[in-house]
Amino acid sequence: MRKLALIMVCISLLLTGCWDYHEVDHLAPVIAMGLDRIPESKIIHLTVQIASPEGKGGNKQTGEQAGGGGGVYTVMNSEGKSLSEAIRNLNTQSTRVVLLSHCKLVVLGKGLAETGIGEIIDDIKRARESRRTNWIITTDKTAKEILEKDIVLEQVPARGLDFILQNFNQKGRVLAMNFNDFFARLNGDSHVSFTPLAQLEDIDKEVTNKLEKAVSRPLDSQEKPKTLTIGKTAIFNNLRMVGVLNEDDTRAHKWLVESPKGSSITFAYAPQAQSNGDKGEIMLDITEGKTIITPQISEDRITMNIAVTIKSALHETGTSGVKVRDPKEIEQLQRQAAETVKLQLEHTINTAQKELKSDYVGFAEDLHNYYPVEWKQIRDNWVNIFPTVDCQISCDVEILSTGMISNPTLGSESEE
Amino acid sequence: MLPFRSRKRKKAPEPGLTQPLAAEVNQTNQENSPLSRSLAENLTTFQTMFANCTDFAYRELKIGQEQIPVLLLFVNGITDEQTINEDVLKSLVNIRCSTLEASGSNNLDMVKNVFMEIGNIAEMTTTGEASDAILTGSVALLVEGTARALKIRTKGIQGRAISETVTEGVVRGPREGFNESLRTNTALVRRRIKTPNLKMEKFVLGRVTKTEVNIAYLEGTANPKVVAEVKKRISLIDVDSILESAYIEEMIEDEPFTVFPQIDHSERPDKIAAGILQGQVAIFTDGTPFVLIVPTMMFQFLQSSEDYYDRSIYATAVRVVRFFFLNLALLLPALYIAVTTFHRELLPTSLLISITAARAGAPFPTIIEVLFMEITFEALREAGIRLPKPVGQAVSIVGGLVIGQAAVQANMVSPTTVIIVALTGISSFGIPSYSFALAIRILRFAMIVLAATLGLFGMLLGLLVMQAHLVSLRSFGVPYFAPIAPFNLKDMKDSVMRLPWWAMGERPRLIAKNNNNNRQRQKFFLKPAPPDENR
Repeated sequence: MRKLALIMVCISLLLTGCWDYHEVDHLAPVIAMGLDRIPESKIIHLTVQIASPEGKGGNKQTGEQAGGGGGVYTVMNSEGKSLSEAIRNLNTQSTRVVLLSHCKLVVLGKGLAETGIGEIIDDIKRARESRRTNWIITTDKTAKEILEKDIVLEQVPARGLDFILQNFNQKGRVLAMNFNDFFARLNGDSHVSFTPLAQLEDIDKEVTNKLEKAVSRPLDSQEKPKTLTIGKTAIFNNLRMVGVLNEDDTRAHKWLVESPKGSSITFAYAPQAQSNGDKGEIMLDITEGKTIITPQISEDRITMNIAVTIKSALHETGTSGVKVRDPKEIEQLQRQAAETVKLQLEHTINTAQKELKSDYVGFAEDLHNYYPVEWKQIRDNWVNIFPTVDCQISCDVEILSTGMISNPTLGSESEE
Repeated sequence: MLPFRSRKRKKAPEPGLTQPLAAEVNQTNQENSPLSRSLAENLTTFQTMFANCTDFAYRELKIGQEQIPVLLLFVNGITDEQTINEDVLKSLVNIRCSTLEASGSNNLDMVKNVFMEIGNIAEMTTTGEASDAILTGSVALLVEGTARALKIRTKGIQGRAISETVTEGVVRGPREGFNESLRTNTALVRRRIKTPNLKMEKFVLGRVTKTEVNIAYLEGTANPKVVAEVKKRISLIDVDSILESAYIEEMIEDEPFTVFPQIDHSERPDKIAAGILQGQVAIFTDGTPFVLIVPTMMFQFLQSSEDYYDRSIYATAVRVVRFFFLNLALLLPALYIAVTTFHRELLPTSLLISITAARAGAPFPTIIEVLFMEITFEALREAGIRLPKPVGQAVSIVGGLVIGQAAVQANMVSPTTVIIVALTGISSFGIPSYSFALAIRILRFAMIVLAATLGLFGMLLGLLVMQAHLVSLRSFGVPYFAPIAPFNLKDMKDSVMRLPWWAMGERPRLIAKNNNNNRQRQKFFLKPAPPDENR
């Protein structure tokens, strides 16, 4: 009897547990999700990008895919009254089990972002498969267009997007946002959050047109499809997209929210700018940088003291007249760079206060941290107070290195 | 009815050692009969005893002036012919002018004490003793009128020379290995440990094979309780044959129902000597080069004797690698199944994509694929060991090329599975002890089944049970999983790590337990340093 029971336990082991057993080749791993909504309609349009490595005749032996250009992915679409319903509806057309745990990013279409993302957030946060580290981006087109776009050098475009956003963390002008950061800001004191903005741009055509104009003949080059770029930032205020920061503001925004590190400053070299045909643009690579925002509440006004310290390396002079070896010259360059940074920051903050009326720098958090008691009084009225906040920007730029050479080689003086 | 209620099992009636074994029956009546005074009578006794034994030989001759008849009995082949001719026969023939009594009983003593030019001589009184002596390669000398016999040791069996070990090769270290002769083997150890404290005690096991078994230990270092226990367990063995030390191993181990070996064996004299020196007891068995060593802890199976001859940093690194590969050998196929079929989210996305691409069109589920390839691999390995060497190579070519390559090309098996199985196979060769690797091989299949049914959860359960079982094992009273459980910091010096020799101040505590005052094995503070120039 005891033996029989033991055997039965062993056999039952073979029967149980298999309910979530799936072979990998019976799965459809979703790498990216795109969400769209037609305004004035309840229905959510879901676009998913699924990696299907065996789909396009790859070399099965090594798991490597032949024919670099052709992507190894398929795109599926479905609709539903809610996000989760749309995901369920995918199963009506997919022969394979939809696997969401490898999803890298979510793309929000313009229509959806502008009408509000409140209802989809709940499912994203609640679902077991979604990761807090997944990227979130917005587009000024529809998400469907973005996800159907091939990205050069990548077989699965969504992985390419993933790499672009990962690189932003080290060296980039745009702040990449994952779910965690996005929701934290949205739930924060200012209720303002932001995501990178993906766009489809005809860079190739622009370049071709300009060159054609210059050489005044049609260029002998093939027409290429539009390119996917991420260079701007979409601002969300209370679950709704309220506006877009342009490239310069986006860069300054990153300086304010995170740090200037990894970015660069470009400005015109004043004394000799137009003298001998050089454009005279000087570029500094920011090797280290720090932004400290200290709020100060006086009797009648709130002041934000913004102190930016930048350590940089001279990357390009673009003109022959810069005497890099002269400490005075370097000092002047530092002053000029600081002025450039300051102007840019002022412009960005101005956009926030006057144009978008959204506290996307996060002044609210700083105030809350430094003045918790006072914050309670102004919290409810923050939307009105924010545009009146005074900003004192101080900037300190230091040039620590001039690269491999000292004075520009094109200059009249020899290098000694 | 409760399915798991434990009931007292009916014990089978013990056979009782009073009944003689089948092999014993026709011997007992002869064995104790004393030798006769008459030479002719004795000759008939032995002739009937060794009827139909062509290798049995006897030689009658008359010695001395009185022409006293004597009888030499021996077995051809296990005696050294030269010794018999030149020493025994010559010394007997040379008895010419001395006076032997015509029917005196001290003729034997005269021969023994005055004439015989052989060192190893003993007296026997029964036919049983005499036949034992003859069968172990001695010459039995009987003299007319004496009811005793002389056992003259002339053992000279043709054996294998001392040669390099086959199973435990080293790059650096002694090359010689044990052979099938017990005396040679004990000599190889005695050569390394030159102290009368190295005790060798003799047991004869097997009623038919009469195999000599010696236990060797270092008195004052070995735990007397362990020595006593070894003696007790060996003396309880009552079988008709012992042909290899495994016969003894299975009869003296602590837990018979386990896949893990609890007694280590080696054919390296240096390893056995090292074990004896740290307080272990070695069990030599005649007829096999494999010497058992007890008590054994699990870590000893993961150590090779070369660890102690390489630099300690490298030895430590190699041991870490071995642990890693031990885990791979046990878990890799199971992990592959669990992760790809249950826990896809644990895979990096690019790996998922390439595994998916590799598995496209594979007809069988992963579990079947893995089991199929694992069993094929086991068959290949088995074939490689058993087959004659020239054929073995053909097998490896057919196995490697046909099974590996063609199965993938024919889309029967995914290439990932082949990689996994090959890696597992290589990992299992990373375990120095063959017998321990066998245990891991068995457990791997259990892990595969668990992973295929319950995923990582099942693997965890399996590991839990395995771990509980490991810590419950004992080898002659020493915890099998020591020095990790029970934890002992000082013994860690020679487990995962191998500290330099100058830091090995003390013997392992658990092995040399109860010998507290004798734990130190060398002077402390032996760390070498350049000479101090200020002094």
